[in-house]
Amino acid sequence: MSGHHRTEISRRGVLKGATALGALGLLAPSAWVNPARAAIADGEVLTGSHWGAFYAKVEGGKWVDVRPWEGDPHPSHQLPGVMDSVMSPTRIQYPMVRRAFLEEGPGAKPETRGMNDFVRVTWDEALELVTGELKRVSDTYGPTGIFGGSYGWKSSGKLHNCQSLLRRMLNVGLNGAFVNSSGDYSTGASQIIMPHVMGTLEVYEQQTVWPVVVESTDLLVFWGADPVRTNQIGWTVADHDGYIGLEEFKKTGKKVICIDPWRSHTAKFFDAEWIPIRPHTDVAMMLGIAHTLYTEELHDADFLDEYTTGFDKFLPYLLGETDDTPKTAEWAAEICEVPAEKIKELARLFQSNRTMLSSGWSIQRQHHGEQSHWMLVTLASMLGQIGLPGGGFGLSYHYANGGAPSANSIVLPGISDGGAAVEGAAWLTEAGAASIPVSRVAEMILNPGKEFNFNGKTQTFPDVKMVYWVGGNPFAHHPSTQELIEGWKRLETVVVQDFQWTPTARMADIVLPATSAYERNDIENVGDYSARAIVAMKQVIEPMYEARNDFDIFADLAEKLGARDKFTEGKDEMAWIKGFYESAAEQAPARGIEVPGFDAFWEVGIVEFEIPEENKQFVRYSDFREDPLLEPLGTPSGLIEIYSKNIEKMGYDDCPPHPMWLEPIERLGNGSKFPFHLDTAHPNSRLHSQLCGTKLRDTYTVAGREPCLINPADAEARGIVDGDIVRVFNDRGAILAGAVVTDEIRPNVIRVSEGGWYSPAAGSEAGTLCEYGDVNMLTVGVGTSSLAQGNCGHTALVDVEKYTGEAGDPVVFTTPAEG
Amino acid sequence: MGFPAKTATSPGLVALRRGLASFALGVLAGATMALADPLFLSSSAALSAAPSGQSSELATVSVAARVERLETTDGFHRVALEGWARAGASRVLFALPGKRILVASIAKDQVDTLEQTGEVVDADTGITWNRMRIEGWIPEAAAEPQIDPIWSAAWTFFTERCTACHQRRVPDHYTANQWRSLIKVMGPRTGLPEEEQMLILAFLQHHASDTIAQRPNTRTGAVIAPGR
Repeated sequence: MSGHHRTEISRRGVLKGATALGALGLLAPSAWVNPARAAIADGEVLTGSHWGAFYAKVEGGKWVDVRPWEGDPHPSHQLPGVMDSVMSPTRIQYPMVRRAFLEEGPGAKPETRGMNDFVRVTWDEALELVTGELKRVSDTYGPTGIFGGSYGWKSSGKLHNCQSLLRRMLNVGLNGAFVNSSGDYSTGASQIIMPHVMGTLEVYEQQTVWPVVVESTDLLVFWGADPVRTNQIGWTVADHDGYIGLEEFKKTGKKVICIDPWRSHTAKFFDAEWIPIRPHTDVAMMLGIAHTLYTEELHDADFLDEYTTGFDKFLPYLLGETDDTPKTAEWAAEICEVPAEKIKELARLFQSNRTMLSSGWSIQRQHHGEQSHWMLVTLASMLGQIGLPGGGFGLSYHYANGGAPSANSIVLPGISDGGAAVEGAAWLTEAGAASIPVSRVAEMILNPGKEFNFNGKTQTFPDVKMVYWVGGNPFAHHPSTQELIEGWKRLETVVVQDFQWTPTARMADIVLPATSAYERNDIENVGDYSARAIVAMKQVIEPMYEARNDFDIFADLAEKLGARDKFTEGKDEMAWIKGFYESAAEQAPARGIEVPGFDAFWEVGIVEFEIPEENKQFVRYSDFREDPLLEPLGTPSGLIEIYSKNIEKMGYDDCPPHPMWLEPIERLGNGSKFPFHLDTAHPNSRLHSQLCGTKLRDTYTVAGREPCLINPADAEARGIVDGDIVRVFNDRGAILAGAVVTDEIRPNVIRVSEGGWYSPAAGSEAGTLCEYGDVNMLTVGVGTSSLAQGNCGHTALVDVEKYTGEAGDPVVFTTPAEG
Repeated sequence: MGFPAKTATSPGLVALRRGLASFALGVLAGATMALADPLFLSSSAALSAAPSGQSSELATVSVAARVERLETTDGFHRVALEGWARAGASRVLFALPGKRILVASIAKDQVDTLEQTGEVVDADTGITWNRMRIEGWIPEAAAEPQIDPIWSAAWTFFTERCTACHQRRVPDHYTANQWRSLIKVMGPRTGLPEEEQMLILAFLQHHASDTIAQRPNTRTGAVIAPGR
């Protein structure tokens, strides 16, 4: 902290004065600040969100009701929570600064982060403070002192994309001097391994479309996937067209199998056969099926020969010639607790039917998670149905309504990160130092200078001293919350810009109140895969309290850094939106469609596009199957790589060159001291942690806590009854949760959904009890492997007991004292 | 029924392949393919049999492809173009053996025009790649003597269009072949015309994890640092 006291003293002086003004009442109450709030006319406004398009009803300047867009075939039940998020007690109202930071300077008393001890400041003061810190940290620690790789599900909208806007400000204002991130928490392992195996990402790509699946698939397998629950949300504006496919498939009465530790929403929807696999053992079960296929001569040798490479190198492993362990169904049954006869039956069933293996991402969000989808692809290759209508595998049926046929539509551009302005592309020459795999953020902060492996390269963690987080909530999404708490203590400055008092905002030094998506204008595509409409996200109400648009906040910061014009390019909100629309409209003639002019579009609020017949027949990899020479995959061989020479050359012990069963750091059935696997799957009534601060919580909490599903036998053995407060714990931490005793979850597994807000009983003390139920207090923080360095949010063993101590109300859902 | 066992490769053959691979690397480094007067395509263009827009088309040359200028007349350059074709698929020429960085697509009826100037067997995949050469005419306006302005334009498109939905990807986090598949999916999501998508692709492929060290498209071998 030495070396910059001088500048701090003067800044502190200014701020003390400001605080005094605040105390005199010159910081007016919100209603007074926003006299124009009632300027929005009464009536209904069409807008859009991750949960779908909807009409917001406004009365007297207040948002009073919500109604789904009539074009939505399956509206999400979460829409009332979306409305409530705008006015909930967890709404950030004013710019705030942590008291110790304000009074004693950057880095002061980091242990008071998370104690909700904030002081209200004016916008001018807050922005001066942020600008000063950006300059100070950048000057003192060089180009990698600031972390701007902010990650999370931000709000929909092509303009107010707070993460792009943050990086835009850092690019134009600080000449790109910041550490960025790559990848994400959803598909960290798969999006790195799949390009080596299939040559492409898979996870964010169009699937064989639902009409083809309905027509041609005989057997639909959901392997750790629950599309009925997870397709509620989309990265752009959810279309929910995947539900049409699910409904149509259900009508056929064809067989559905769900391989999952719990009887999922999808299993119940289809009344599917439920195979309650032991968590974390999917690769073993797949190997057992593969072994059966091979030994019963049910595998497709011609497909393997023509479309894959390296099966001959994988086979000795499968047969146990390399390790004296044949991966028989019996071997697999021991590990995965699915009977050997069932494993063999599945092998025959998969082979004798047109089978679609639809997998979710949970099985790759685990230690050694790279192996799961690699083995799934290997299994699908042995079945030989890849590229045939309704056969093969799919990694995106559960996400953003993958498989919904695509419209013939125009595509909106969006606000860029401003990187084009960066002189000499400094980040490119320093590649590695300037971007980290996103889930390594805590490891990075804690270990500056440490070398780490990533996808064949050795990189070094930079020494980050300042974090600026927007549109995300790492204190909910980052596995091993404790590591993040420890890491935060090394930081001198944390800025969080949000509209909700998330756990992350509470761990900040400077908190900037942003508008919600419903207090500003924006524009967005509807349907990540269908792209079947463009919606005007019209402002519903005036900004609440002192909230400001992300665009305006960052434009002001860019101005203070001498780069306002570069940031805004001379355009205001509506000019940008119009520009995006008109750029998209230029594509219309080439697509043979007509679209209205911008003014007409904005007036109507939505433009929809036709879905051509041809797009209802799309079969993934049919082109490759037809001509593997002219339509090669993006792998070195152009074929499906069951054995990867590129991965072989990396020489990683934790990611060998063909799929293998690798013991994870912990799992059930491997002698662990903790008897339960903690299933941390996505919640049904939130988007990860979004909406946790709303009244929607009343519809699912148990005794005011995140629900904990537990099997009746396990509950009885521990004297737990439905509705009890339970303590879930391991050596890493402890949380409270509310027991739901149900036979819809298999024994030895309990389920607490990720995204519950971290609510520490004692501030930022590591190891303190979380009184609400943030599962990442319990998960492991290691990377999936040297290859992908993805997160392991589904790797956690725990114990659970009836909680008899005093259970305080989770403080995280209240407004901080002066906020 | 079973998977046919592959015939074991003799040690001699392996050594030969290695030798060929290192020969290829030498080629990539510019040791033997030292073009006297290189040009780079600023947009995709037809390679014609004669210096006229009306003459028969031999090939489509890709944006950012490198060619050798032989002469210039009447608004056309006569150029020689070399690229690597997979044995059995001669119509598609790539910048490097095994790296599908598109240089040119040869017209169906012009495959015989190609002259083979080299051959290499990729040691990892066992695939044979033939170096092919073709000569023809391109419009003067379609090429530039320097690659930098082309990369600069690509850089602008990449940063403008490929950061709207996700963080900016690091080009050398993926291989040249992976980028080809990724852009096949992601390219249309930019809303850009195909030509611009192909320009972004070429930029990424030339800065990929398995090509950046070889700098296939730089004359000087200097680090490619796109400016404004």
